Amino acid sequence: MRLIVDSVSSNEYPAHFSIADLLRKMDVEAVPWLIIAVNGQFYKRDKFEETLLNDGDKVDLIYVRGGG
Amino acid sequence: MSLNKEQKEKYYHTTFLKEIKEEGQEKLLSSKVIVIGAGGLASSALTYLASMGIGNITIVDDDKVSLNNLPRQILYTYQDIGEYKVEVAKRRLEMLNPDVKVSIYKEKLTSQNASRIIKGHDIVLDCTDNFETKFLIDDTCHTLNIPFVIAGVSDYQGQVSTCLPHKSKSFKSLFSTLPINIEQKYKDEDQGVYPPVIGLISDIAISEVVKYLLGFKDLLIDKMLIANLKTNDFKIIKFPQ
Repeated sequence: MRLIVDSVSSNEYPAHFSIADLLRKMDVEAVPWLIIAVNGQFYKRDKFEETLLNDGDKVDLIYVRGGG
Repeated sequence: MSLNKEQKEKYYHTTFLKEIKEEGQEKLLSSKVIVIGAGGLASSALTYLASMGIGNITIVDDDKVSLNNLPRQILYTYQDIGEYKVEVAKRRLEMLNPDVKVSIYKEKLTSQNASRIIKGHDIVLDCTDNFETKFLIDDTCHTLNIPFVIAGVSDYQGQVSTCLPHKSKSFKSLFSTLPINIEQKYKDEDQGVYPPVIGLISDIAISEVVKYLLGFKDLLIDKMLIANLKTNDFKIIKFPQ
């Protein structure tokens, strides 16, 4: 399956691949202020396991910033 | 309140905009904006808010100016090191524009004082440097039904979002688990900041404040603008349903 993650396109992703799978693969699942947008729509952490990605999805990893 | 002769000259280029005109400037001069924090985002934001003639500005911060603030906190100079930021800011902003009255609170915003301090303002601008205070602002503004603009920066990236309590999604709604207790763990490795991103994000944030005060409809409500100056990537993401 092809995903575009942070503007980088790759075909290496398996089918039935969730947001949580992607974050585990990238080793960022524990970052507390990381939120995910799929095709321009935010997904909360409690939806990461159940949300399956589809071929061609555009995924953005958003590190919400606390600094001022 | 009508603009006097000097104000008509001073704000000429703003009032020339057909969506603002003199009526809009009069509205700004009678507005009450509270800025929480007086660091990097606030330095830039306060300068524009005062220059534009936001008539009543309140600043809340308990910190003093230090040497490592100067590369990104443009309101302060070497001579200000060791002074309370809010005192320096008040002095400088009232010199910048005598139309502006600046009130200051030389204290940290806490759950004990937040309602008392924020109450009575038209809009809140969050320029704090931690999630805990951002969530406190979110809670307090929902209780008081006061709109707020929330901004944050770190390394090359920053974000801005506007919330109208009881009408739009809150900043907190982005998180299933609030990241406040584990924030300290990441703090040391997350402290770098590229100064230009502060100017960019604060400019977008004050534009949201001013547009809200003037009744503009196209605000960052239920969405967040995210900018990364390392990659020059700008995006607007919608909040979860």
